[in-house]
Amino acid sequence: MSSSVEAITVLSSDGDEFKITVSAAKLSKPLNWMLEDVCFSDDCDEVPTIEVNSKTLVKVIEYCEKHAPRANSGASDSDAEELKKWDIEFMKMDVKDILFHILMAANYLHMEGLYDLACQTAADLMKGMTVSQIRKIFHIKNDFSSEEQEQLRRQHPGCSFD
Amino acid sequence: MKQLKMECNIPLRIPQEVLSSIFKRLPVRTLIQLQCVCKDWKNLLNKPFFIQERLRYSAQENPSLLIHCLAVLNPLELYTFDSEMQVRPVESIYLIEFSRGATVIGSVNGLVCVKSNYEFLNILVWNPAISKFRLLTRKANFSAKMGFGFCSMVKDYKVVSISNRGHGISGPIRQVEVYSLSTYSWKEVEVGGLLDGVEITSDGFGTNGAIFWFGYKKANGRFLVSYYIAKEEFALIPSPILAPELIDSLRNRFAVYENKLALLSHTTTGNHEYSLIDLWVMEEGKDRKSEERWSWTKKYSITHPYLLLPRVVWRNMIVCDAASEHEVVDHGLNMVLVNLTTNESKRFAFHKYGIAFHVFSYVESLVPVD
Repeated sequence: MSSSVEAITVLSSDGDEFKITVSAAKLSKPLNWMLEDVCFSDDCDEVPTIEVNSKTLVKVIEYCEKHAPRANSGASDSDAEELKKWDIEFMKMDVKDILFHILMAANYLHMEGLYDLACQTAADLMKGMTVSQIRKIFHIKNDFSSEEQEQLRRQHPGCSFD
Repeated sequence: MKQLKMECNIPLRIPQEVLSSIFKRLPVRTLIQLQCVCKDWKNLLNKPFFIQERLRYSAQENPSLLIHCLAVLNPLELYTFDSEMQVRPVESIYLIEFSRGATVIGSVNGLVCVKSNYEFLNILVWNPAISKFRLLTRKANFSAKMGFGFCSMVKDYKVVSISNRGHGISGPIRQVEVYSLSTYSWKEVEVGGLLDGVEITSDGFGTNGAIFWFGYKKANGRFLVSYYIAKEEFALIPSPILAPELIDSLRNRFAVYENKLALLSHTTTGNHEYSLIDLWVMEEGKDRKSEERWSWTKKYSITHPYLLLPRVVWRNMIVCDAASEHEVVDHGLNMVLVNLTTNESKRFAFHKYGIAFHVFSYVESLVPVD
């Protein structure tokens, strides 16, 4: 790999261009493969597309750039603490919109750290919710018949449905 | 143009593997609620792969304790103690609610095996998190020593009962009956005289596909008895503790340390002023014929300026009963956690009227019993 390459350009699914540094791209295996392809290819004009929308990709790249120094060189405990706080702030985003997109992007880009963080955020979010609130954020239709619904209510008197 | 495919439609469709990575982080009471969201989720939450994945995650991230408080005249009173040190009462079930003599035999993968004397002897395998239990039909034998364990190789839970069939020259002749959760039945296991004359001095402790008891025989002294769930075989294992003051099995406890069977021993030194607690870990070799199949290593030795009775190893701590400390005896139960790395101890007073407690490793799970 040529050492002169410091960042690569990628396209989001909406067709917007994004730059990501080589060290940040290493957090994701698929991104890393793409990077190697771009660097080794004679035809360097080709811009790879990542099937993640722009709004989500901005956040994913932001996460990668923040975590890259630690992932590549290891870090002290105080850095790890600081990074944890940063992660918590980073996850305070509008849930309906983007948390699940980030989760899916992290899964697709094989980013373990971000995936775990997003899964935990989603789990924490669901903890206090009623059944109908959960249906709403996941866009799920209630497919139980009214008899089944009645039975569920009887079986699980501790559940809050509405 | 190079493309990696991903579905990013709105509303976003979340595949099952991603859903299960979210769900496995949730407590069982939330998951019960999630079963009511839609049929797909209900199916996913009842799939064996999800139940296993959640169990694995929970055992690693939130290993808990099950505490059985012994209070005068009370039925089985159980509490869970999670990794955030939250104490929660366990909701009882009618069969043990009325029982005064109920005891916990063991706890594996969120399943708790309970012996209860409500009307007649009952043995229950119970998952308190999902409020489900199975009653094992059995002839009454109150003096039997029981054990409860799981073997991942055969994916089966077994309850073992060791009782007396009669009396021989060298002592009692043993009868062993085993209940398998997967076959729903009891059967007698042939032990070929290995256990004849052996006195079993504890309830069984299940770990790593086996169940272990403390045993004693006049000719052989103290040792451990093990039952391998998959092979349905018994073996006698030498005890690491040879000092006569340490062999009192009432003070010794089985535990798990670094995924291996461990033994906690207790003795007092000085004029019963100090507690000396040792942690022994057992290595088991592959060679079944070898004399040195089992070896013990002493990992820790702790002295404490009060009477502390070690009960179980939990995370990186030894959980001890300090109820008999003079200064606190009026204030109910006191659990002391001794950190194995720093040697620091933390105290928890959690029950006003208790007189003693038993403690078991526990993990909240969805593992079914029916």
